[in-house]
Amino acid sequence: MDERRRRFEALMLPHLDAAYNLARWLTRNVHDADDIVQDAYLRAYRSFDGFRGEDAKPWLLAIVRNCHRSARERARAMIAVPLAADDGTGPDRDEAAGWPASAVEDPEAQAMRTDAARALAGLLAALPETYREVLVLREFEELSYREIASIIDSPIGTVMSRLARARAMLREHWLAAHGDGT
Amino acid sequence: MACDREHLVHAYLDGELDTAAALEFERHLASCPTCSPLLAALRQLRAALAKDHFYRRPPAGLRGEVLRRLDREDVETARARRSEVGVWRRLGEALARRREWLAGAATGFVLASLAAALLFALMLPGRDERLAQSLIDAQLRSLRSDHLVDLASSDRHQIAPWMAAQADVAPPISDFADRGYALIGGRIDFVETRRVGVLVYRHGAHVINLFVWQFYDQAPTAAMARDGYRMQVWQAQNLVFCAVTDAPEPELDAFVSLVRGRLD
Repeated sequence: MDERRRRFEALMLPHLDAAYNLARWLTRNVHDADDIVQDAYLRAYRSFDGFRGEDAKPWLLAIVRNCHRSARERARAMIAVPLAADDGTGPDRDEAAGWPASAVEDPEAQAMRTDAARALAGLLAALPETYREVLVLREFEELSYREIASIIDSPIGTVMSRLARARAMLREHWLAAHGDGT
Repeated sequence: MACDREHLVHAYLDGELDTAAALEFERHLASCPTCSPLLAALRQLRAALAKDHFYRRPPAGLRGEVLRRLDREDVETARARRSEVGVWRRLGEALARRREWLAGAATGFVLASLAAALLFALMLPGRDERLAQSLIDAQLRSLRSDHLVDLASSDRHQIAPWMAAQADVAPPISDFADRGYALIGGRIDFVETRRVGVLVYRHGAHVINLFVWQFYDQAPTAAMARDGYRMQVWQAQNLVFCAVTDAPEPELDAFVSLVRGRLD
């Protein structure tokens, strides 16, 4: 095994859990998450020469996010055949759909220890992607605003406003479903 | 009741305020009827989002699967490198043979050969050069085998899903027949070791290949020309576009600005 490969593994493999967790929350699907992670690692490896020794985790997670986005674009192109004038600039599908009536079925959610946690996972999975991703990166990966901004390729101000909106939405829907819980 | 510092509650909760700002905000919290309940509620939400319930762990086989993909990539890279080395070894042998033929005239020719070898070494192709050569090779292959397209169509709704499935790219596609650049179809090709999508246009007697692939790398040089072909490379929407043609430069420029105009 050559030096480049050794260095890549040493820097990137420790973030496999984070890559998978992000892919799962983005795709909301076990099989797609697997594919996205494999794809992301291969792409990361191919562009490893462009890695300038910055933080490995945000660098890798940005690639995971890109892989997810391009997979979704592809899926959309397949679906969009009969539609006229779909040039890929339409609104985000999640956002266009607003708040879906039910969260995507998630097998792991079955194993949730409490009903409350399961319900909350459902609500989180149903958040529009732009809000879901910042919340996942902040709450589960505990990344800083700056790191999240670099992953979603947006200013810090955008991270802050999306995070606030994401929490407000999650709380609102939680309270609607379960009362104020106090 | 609204408070104009409400947005700071999140930054405070997330530890994004520096010490001075955090202290000041704590003083504000003590007396603010909006921020302090909000902070409590957000803390509750955070507790409910406890990582052990929500963190998705990868399946046991994923790490091995990733490593196998890297292994395959290493094998392919090594193969590509070997064939490159092979070219240089053959050149070296040719030079050596020439030296034998000219053995009588000794030193002068040996020096000349060394100089030639050095020159070749200096001409070793760089990254962009290899990419350019690979693009032109792809173009020549398609012209020589009279196989310009895999899918003959000017209907972007037919080409887009096909290309997405075959080459992993979903570029925006436009036909510019009314401007003299007619879309005649799509092709899947290999550039270096990458599978790329090619949109093929006809312009008078010339063919323009528009190569498209996912961008995850450093950008190649913007414009290159060699062997009577010229190319322009640019990036948009996370994709690399490269137009290659033997058409004259102003006509390539016009084509590129049509495509880019449609993209921007």
